[in-house]
Amino acid sequence: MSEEIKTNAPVEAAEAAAVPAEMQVPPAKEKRAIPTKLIWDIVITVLLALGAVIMLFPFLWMVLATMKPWTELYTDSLFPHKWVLTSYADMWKGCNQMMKGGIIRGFFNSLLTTVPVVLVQIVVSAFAAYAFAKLEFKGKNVIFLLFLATMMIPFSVIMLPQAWLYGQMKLTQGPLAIIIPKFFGSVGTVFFLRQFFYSIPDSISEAARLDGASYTKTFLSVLLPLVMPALATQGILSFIGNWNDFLGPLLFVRSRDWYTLPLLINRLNNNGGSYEQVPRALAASLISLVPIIVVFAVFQKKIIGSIVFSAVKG
Amino acid sequence: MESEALKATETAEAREAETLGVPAAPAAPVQKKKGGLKRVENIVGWVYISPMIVGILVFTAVPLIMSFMAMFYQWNGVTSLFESKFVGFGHFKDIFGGLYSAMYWNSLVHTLVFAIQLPVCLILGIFLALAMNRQMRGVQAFRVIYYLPGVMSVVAVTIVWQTLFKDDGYINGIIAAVGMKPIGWTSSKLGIALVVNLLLVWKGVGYSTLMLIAGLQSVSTDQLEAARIDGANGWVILLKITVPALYPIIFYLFVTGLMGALQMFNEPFILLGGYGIDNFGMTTVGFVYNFSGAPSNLGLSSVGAWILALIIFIVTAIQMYVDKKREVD
Repeated sequence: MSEEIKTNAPVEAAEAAAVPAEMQVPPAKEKRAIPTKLIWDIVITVLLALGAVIMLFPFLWMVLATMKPWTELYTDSLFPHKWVLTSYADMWKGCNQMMKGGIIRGFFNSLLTTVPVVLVQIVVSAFAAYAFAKLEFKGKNVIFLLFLATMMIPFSVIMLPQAWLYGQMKLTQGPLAIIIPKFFGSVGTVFFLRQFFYSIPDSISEAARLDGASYTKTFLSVLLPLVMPALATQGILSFIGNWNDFLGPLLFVRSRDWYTLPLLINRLNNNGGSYEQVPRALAASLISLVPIIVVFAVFQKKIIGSIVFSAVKG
Repeated sequence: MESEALKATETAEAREAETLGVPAAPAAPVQKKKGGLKRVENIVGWVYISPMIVGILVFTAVPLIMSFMAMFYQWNGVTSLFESKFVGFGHFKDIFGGLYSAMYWNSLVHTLVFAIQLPVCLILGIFLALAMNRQMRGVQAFRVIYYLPGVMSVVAVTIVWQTLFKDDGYINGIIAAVGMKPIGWTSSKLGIALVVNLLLVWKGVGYSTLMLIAGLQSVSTDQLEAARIDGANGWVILLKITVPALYPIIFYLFVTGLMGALQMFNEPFILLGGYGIDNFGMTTVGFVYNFSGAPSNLGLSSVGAWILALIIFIVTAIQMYVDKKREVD
């Protein structure tokens, strides 16, 4: 803004010379220069706030919808005329009919198929990432390229033979088909963590090695703590991804008693066909969002930071 | 991406060679010790990556080979692949002009229809990023709020949209209340295209925005000031300086977004409780999934999946070519 005024200055000076009465104009403009930013800030804040309302509205509507009788869901009123919690009671009953242990069991299944997966997957991936970044071994580059190549294989190509394979391994009757395969690490995480191991100077690990520590001890006690922030970020992203996963469990979990929350909710919703059953699905959906909201609230800086990181890298 | 990775590996090797080479030079016994160390390091390296190699061989390579072979068999996914009937190029004939031709190619068209959200997210994202890149109060909160739908469970938010956009639901209630004609959101093809794309924009625009904000930090301020001194207006600056500077990130978002969009399944499937009218909600992955169930035909599924994979490989190849060209320029 101030640049514009500078460039206009000679013209205005000329005008001012011609018409002395307009001598007052430049200072007046300079005074207005500060409010211009303020006006733009207000306009943009209002527009962004309107957008934010749109972004948040479905969540607000969802919360209020679980407190209405189902007949009110299909009207144009946002707030309930009659506040009831029947949808939660229906949800509790519906879940108990669906599977042993109901919603509690569903929640437990979701935890069981995310938390151990995240922990093991991160550690296994970190070992591989360290090897690729800091150790010299035969065939390293070829193997790494092969690892990267697997990232290009679309899930849809391998998902059905995988379902057959897990069936042969007797994994699909329990939750193991969405746990065991993930224990073997994630190439994406390896790629991400490798960058962090590169940034650690070799002198640090060499000092530990000279003190007589083994490779594994050096890795676990010296290097791993240094990349802990990156591990945490990957763990959080992996948790969110696994918690929300739908297609994997849909294909690989055959027993209803081992349904994760997304599968359970999808069943409760009954494909949206029955109007009375929607509120109970909404109530269960809300419960399934709670852990994600908590994780996101606590770690939003890390999550958003990881996006910035990938933007700078990409 | 791969060329980058290779380069990084090479520099790491060079560094390692340096650190190893310097102390190794003076005396022979030290060199011998280093040789021993190297052998240990070789073993340790392989041990550290061995779980992942086992995992990739068993859970990726084996299914990949099976999927490739299945293209030529009448496989039901229950019995063994080798006990199934060999049908040669039968499934290919079905997809290229045969019984399932219309279904498959339509599913690809539907997938592309649901990818319209991608450019919308990018264009909207540029404006949102410019707005949120200002020095003013509350931008941090806006960044979090706009990204929020992106991390939420796809099943949960899709059910909310399904209910909001029912033909007699809340949104149509509002539309009727302001005196407009309600839209058949899930009972017409146009409605399905609109509601799925709206859902995807709502879920995806925050991610694009955050990436583009990060990109904006790299736009040279000197250039911007110079343009302003030259008297360029906001639109000219946006189109001539900001967008070209953001181009690498826009391109990255477009390509990765396209790869994701080509593998779309969850949103239309959950929203429509299946494939909707005239199978309009059947994406290509939906086609693949469809033949895993009651009319189980994994051979047909595999052909469909491999054609999709080929398209994705071509997109990746174009991305690598463009990236390399940009590096050279």
